[in-house]
Amino acid sequence: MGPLLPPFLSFASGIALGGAIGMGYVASLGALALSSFFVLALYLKRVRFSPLSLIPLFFSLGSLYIIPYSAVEVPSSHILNMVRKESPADRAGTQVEGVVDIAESTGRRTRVWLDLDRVRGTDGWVISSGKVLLTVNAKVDLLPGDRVRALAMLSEPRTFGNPGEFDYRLWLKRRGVLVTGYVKSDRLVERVRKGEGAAAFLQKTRSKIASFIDSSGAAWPEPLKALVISGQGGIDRALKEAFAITGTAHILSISGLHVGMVAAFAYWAALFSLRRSERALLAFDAKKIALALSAIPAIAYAVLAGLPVPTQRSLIMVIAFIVSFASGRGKDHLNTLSLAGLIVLAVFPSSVWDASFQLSFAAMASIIILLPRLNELSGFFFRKPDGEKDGGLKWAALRFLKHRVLPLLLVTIAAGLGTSPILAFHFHRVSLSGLLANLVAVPLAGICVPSLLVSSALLPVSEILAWLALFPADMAFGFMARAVAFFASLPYASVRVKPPSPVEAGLYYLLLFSVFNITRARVFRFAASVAAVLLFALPMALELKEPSSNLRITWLSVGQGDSAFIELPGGKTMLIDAGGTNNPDFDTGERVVAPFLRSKGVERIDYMVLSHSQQDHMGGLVFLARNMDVGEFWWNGVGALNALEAALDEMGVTKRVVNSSVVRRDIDGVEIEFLNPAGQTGFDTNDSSLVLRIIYGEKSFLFTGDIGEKAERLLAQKDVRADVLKAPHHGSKYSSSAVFLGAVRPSVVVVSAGWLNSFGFPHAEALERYKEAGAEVMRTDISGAITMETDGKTLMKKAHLTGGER
Amino acid sequence: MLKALLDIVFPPVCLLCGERSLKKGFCEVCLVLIEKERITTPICSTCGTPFPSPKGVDHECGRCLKERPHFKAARSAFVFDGRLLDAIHRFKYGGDTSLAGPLARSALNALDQSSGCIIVPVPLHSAKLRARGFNQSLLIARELARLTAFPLSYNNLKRARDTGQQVGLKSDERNKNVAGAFILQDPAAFKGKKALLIDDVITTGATINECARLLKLAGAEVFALTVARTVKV
Repeated sequence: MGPLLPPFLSFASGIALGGAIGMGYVASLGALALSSFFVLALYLKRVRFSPLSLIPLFFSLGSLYIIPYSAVEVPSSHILNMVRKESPADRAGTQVEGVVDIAESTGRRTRVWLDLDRVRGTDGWVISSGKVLLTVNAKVDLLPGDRVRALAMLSEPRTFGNPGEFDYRLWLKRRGVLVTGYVKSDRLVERVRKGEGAAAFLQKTRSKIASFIDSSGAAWPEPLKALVISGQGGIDRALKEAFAITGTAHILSISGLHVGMVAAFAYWAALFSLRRSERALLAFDAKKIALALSAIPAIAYAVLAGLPVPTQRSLIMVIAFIVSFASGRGKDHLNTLSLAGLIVLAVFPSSVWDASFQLSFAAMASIIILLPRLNELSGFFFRKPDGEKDGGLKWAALRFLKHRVLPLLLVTIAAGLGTSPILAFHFHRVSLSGLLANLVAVPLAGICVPSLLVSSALLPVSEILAWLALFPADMAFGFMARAVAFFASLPYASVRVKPPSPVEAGLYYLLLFSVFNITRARVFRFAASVAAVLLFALPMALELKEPSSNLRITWLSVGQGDSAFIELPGGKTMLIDAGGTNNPDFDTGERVVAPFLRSKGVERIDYMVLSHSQQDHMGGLVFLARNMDVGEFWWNGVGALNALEAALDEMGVTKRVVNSSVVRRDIDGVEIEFLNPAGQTGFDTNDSSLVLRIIYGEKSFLFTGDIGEKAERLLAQKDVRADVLKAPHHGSKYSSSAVFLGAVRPSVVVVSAGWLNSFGFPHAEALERYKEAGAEVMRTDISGAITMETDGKTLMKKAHLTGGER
Repeated sequence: MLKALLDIVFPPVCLLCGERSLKKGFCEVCLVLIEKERITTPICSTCGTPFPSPKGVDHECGRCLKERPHFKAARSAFVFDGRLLDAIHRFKYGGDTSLAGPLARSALNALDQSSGCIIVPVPLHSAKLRARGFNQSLLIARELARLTAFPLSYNNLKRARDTGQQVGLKSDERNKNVAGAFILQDPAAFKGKKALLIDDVITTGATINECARLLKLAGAEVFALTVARTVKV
């Protein structure tokens, strides 16, 4: 154990937990003073120094360090106050000016982290402050240090507010960003002053490389660009998904692996050229010189990539290792990794929460810790039989396996074991094909990345030479893409999993570490069994308990759209709609509903229900049909299902048309009535929506899709009485007529609508009618996901964002 | 201060076993194992070969009496065996050049007061140097020059002919193999000087002797120091 490991881990924990356990300035400073005193006392008492004594010191340092990020100071001039003052309807846009922290191109869009210093108000420019994340709807080449002016529509970041959802607001806040802005076009961004001369030069170089790759005739221009100048927005979605499925997505973004590969290649190249000269070999220690030289291309690479945060982190890591090797003090890799970690966290404290940081460090740490053990194990299997002659083809093949393939395989195994829980936590998937896919993809990346960099370096000299170097990079990526696509197409290439809790992840690491050290000390045998029991047996035991005898309904906040998930008392599940947007980059099924279901550990939807075939109800279902285990599909049979139909057919899901001609269903004591009339003439798509009444004991719920007055009038003649009404058509003024509300007599109306949606849902008139009907209104746009639970007698209501458990 | 900081940032670990060590180089355990191989008196006062009996004083061995070597005296710090053999193999074939310093330091004791010597590493043929990337004798010699502040001459004595691997050859074959393999580019530099030849391992002494012959011819008084030597049991 290196002396820096305890400080690093405690510093990271201080950052991660300090805020969560409510350590403000007073508590943190107090703890810091106490722990400094403790260290000082140990020193004065001449107790033998142990790095463990630094744990409280670094923990409190970490918790102190993150305060400016977790509790961002908002002075009166802060841009947030201005955004809050503005009425939401007033969306003309604001002129802002500031200095670019980081600009990340994602292909069609550019994310600009702006350190804002003034804003144009009604009376000209006023001083302001705060960090703003601008999304520019175009590719803009900006670099850190540039001073820009932009016309942006500013807003406070929001999340939909669902369990299991990625908390974008918190993510931004941890980076000190409280306001986001949308810039419609690149013409609304103006560079007032360029960064220094070097920055401008870099800018030109980057765009030159981009246009060279575009015009080179390479088969894979977008990924190749992503690998030199970073930004993977231009990469084909299907290709990206294939990389994600096979656990090789890390190859598409510039990480420690890439910077390390460049450094390794540079080392090899420097050593190769030094070896040409006997004089140089005699005059210097060529290895040390080559090592020092290898840092230069690594730095150049990171600069060329535009210095996005993950790349800066990787660079810190690689340089720490280069210095460690050059110091000749032996190889305490874990300590060097801790050193790199401390530096990274000191520079970018919010990295603690970043998947890419966690993955890099977990991969490195497990390679460092597990590789020696794995080597011992494989040595056991790969022993050369005594007395066998060296020579012959078989022996050569074995040698190749042992010296070339085996080390790579072991590194991949170690990295895979270390990163799996983190991948499961952030991306809810475990790549079973990851081992093989990485085994093929990583060496190819090792050809691709250095040749790309060589090509970029040759570009100012000669385009032909640059093209000659680009060619192998393109070839290598082509092989990689084909291999990855093949592995992705295999059955069980990746499985979706319930994200592990931090405790489960911790137990997993304990189990992993103990199992690999089981022969070393008895304590590991004990630790391994305890961890295994807690990890596997306990959840199983919990699983065995009786399913809840309650009916639980969750209206998910899917933006402007509808989605409700129903857990029936017997354990069966039903999903009514799954929202949907027209933005191909945001699938509500993938981003909202699926993470919610996985966070609940739900893998099967017994009844997938579609109210009517419109995008804001149907869009998200396609992903779920393909990625979840679906029992049967119910809909009203009106209109076309298009992509959903294809997905359902492919998965072999039975489709049923349900309407008032179908007899009611009884599922484990819950009655489900179909109220929409069959084949009603004169009804439009909305009016034809499936209408469901779900009755459990004394409580009932009415799901109405997007029906309007016409359908409501017809329904009002039947028994539609319900305690909870899902507001028809998101609370449109042409729905929720007084007659209908009179027939339903709800005590609660749930409105599912998008925050500040352009339709103005729910309409003030509808809200007025709910009030007159004496119903409480709960809105997904304000409260996030809304959960109701009933045992058939009482009704409990809960909102994810605004709480209010009753 | 700087060293204390460096100890925290890059704490020294043993270059052989990877365990924590107090200072740069070898840990205490490995150091003890290495010290076990140290050559003690009685040794041949000329070629430095240890005598099997632990009693007695240094005297010339039979081989040196029969055929006096070209060097005045040669010394080796260790027997080429055990942990030390591991260290030299790791250094020479494993390419861990960080080992040059610690090896040179522990070999320093074997150097009796041969002050004012020009340090001359046994050269590698350029092809071999290119293949290996470094000359292990030169790296050790450079460390010794730093520790003793003696001048270093690494570009004068050259190996003109690739003698191939000496390993596996018999004593007389080795002698024949290295005969005329070296040249001295500027013999005048050694006239009336003392020269200290450095090598990692001495086996039969054929190579050292051939180098010593050239240096002696140039008018130098020649000594030799190697980290280790093989000893016939």
